[in-house]
Amino acid sequence: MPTEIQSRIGPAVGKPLVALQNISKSFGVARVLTDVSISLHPGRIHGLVGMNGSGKSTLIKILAGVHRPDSGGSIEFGSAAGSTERSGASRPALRRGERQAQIAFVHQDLGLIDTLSIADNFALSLGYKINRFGRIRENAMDDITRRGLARVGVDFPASTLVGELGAAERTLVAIARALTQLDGKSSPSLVVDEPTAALPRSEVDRVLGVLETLADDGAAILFVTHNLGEVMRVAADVTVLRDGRVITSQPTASLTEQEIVDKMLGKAVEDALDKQRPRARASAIGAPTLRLHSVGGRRTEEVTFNVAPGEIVVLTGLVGCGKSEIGRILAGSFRMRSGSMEFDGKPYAPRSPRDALAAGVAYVPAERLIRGGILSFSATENITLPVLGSFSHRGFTAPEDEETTAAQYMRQTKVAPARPEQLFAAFSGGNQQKIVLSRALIRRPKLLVVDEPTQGVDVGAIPALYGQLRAAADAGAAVLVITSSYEEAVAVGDRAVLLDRGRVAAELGSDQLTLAALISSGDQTPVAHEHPLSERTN
Amino acid sequence: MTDLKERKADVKTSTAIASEPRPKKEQNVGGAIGGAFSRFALIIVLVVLVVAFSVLRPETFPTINNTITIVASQDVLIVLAVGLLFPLLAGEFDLSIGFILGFTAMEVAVLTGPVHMNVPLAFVVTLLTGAAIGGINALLVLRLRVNAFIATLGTGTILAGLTLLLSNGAQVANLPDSVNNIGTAQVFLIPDLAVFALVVAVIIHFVLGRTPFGRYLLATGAGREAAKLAGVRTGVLLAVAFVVAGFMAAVAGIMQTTITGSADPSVGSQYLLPAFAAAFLGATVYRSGRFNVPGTILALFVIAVGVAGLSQLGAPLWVSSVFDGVALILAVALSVRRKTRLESGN
Repeated sequence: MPTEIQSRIGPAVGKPLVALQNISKSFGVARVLTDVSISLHPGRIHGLVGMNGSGKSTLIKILAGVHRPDSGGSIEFGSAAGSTERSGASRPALRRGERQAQIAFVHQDLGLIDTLSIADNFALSLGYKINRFGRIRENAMDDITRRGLARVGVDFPASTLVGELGAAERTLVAIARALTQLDGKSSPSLVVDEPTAALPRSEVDRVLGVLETLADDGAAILFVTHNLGEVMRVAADVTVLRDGRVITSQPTASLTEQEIVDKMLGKAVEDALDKQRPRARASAIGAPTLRLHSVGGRRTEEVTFNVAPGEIVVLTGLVGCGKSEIGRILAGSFRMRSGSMEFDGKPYAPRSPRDALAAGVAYVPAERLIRGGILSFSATENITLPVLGSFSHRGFTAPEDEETTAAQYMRQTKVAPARPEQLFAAFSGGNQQKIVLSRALIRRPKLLVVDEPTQGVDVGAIPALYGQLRAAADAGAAVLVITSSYEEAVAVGDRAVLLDRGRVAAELGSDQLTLAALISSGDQTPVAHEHPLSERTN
Repeated sequence: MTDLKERKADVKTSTAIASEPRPKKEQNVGGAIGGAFSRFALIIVLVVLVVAFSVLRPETFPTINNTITIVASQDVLIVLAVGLLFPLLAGEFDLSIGFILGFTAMEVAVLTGPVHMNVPLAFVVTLLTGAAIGGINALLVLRLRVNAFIATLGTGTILAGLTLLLSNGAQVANLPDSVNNIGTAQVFLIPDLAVFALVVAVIIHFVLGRTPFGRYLLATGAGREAAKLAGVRTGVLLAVAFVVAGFMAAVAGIMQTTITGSADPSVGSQYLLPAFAAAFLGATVYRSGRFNVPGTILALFVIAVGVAGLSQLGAPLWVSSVFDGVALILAVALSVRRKTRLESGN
């Protein structure tokens, strides 16, 4: 079908390639999307923005056919005959294969296998071409791969292992594979989910440049991101989701960045969050317990900040910004490569988790089920593990004493039901997190580091967890909370340090810590505004 | 540490609060029945086997002699299997233990027989050999990061070769009486070594179940990353586990030689599979699937009774291997199912 390529500024005209109309989705009683309509037009990048929990990922999954929307809406794929999908129909109008021919996805984790070549990674989603004896036609595969790579300007042999590529190139390979899946359509529809979040700043431009070129060539691209600077720069249209509703969907040029921030947050949300914060934020008392001077690791560089006794400092930033690495460095499970740390007035460079624990640092990791708790241990055994020695009489453990102490901590952290003998695996996510937190608290740490305290935790358990963090700070500990959620940063922190691509992008004091401040500090991408690409738009 | 002790003290004063009524362990009926069934399954199987064989062979099976034979025949395996529990609890396989048993059985025979070494000294040297082989396993796994399954299969195969080298491929017999007497000594018809094996098992049961060391070992196997973050020295514990397994295999090797009064280069590999089968079957007695001493011993008797009964029924020699193999697969299948259930959160 003929495709008109349009200017990337100004309102979209003509027939969309993909049109979602009045899409709603509920999981049980929880309504996640309400009446969402979005159109993707050829030649335009469409930015999709929203806070965590706004419904972005559900929307993408509906586009991908993972979730079926509730009845009443429709999804139309413009170029295929009979491709309108009436939601609520007993079967999807498009079978899996047909949908794959209409729209391609580049997910945040890219779905590439490092130990395979680029050509093999292409074959993972495209299948292999074989000759009549069943042998792989390597040359044909290489040709397909080369043609795909040429579209995104990557100049590597098809036999290169993906693991040898740089971050931007990996992203581009994933994009090329997605495009190839659409079989060289002149106007492909593409969904890219956070393609730049894990990239070093210097490589963001390359990826954005490729997206712009693809749009110029007629692609319709849905660009899902946290980074408003990037949306302002490359997206012709922007849709803001909040609480599962489209707050606005219009040409980007007609909005300012501040207006988008306001629409993402909604006044009500911010007010509600402010109410969750009845106290005046504590200001640091006394000398900092922990100081970081220009600390660097594998993904972090020159990170400098302090945490004082009695305060909760939040280390935040997008997934991949390197914040978890700082936590692991503090916990002694990852060695810093540059810079120095001071803990309790002394130089601090733990070589193992034991060193960190001995110094008085307790750490709650993000991957609760792998690194946090031991599934086949009881709650008691999990809680007392770091202090087992102090419970033994004449070399033997004292299970009753252990259980009594564990029960005390479980009541303190509000584990319900507080059954010390129950296996860790049998507790809910929230209770598991409280148990892991109990284990950290049992050593009475001077510094408590908690990575993603409420990840995978039932909503009801969140206030109790925040309460425990505050209680630990009030008892004199320095508390460092690591989180991807800006809402959490505002709800629990006294101060916040914002990381962007491994570096400190902003430090927000107690009077500056608001959602709006975090969002607008997050995309101070200086190169963005003066980039030559922006001149190409006309 | 001191403030921990203090805290413990004031915790004790608050026991009254702590012991408020607590719900019983099992939360749902289905789980309780499933849990109870697997908990008592081994005992039920044992009873069923004993009853069945007693009915089928009333003259030979339910006799004191036969019972003692079955119990006594497990002494070497008990020591080997409870040693195997250490690496298994720490989350690693040790396939070399059977071959360590074979090698050390030959070593002690050669040292006390042809070499005429002083018997206690020969025992000490042999025990150290077993521990040292365990140490090599630990080095391979921890330093060179060779997968434990492969590393111990490798050392085991090497040892099988060295056993042939040591013996010239033949049996070594004509050992001094002081060696042979150990294997034949009895208290009230029960061989001393069977009593010794049970005492060793009881000690290890307490070490594993009731000491911080045992708990740390368990944590190393059940969640290595989590354990490390909680300050457990997982590397040291793994090394100790391999050394203990090697040492215990050497104990079993010495027992084997004193019992038969000779050493056969082919002995050893036949002990590997029953030890694994017993350890895995024994793990099914706990809801959490923990390897444990009582379960392992119970499982050894189930296997022994099964094999003894079948052979009295006239089953040919190959049956015992098939029986061991089936028991091992069954046990591992059960433990996988339990693990999946654990991970899915119920």
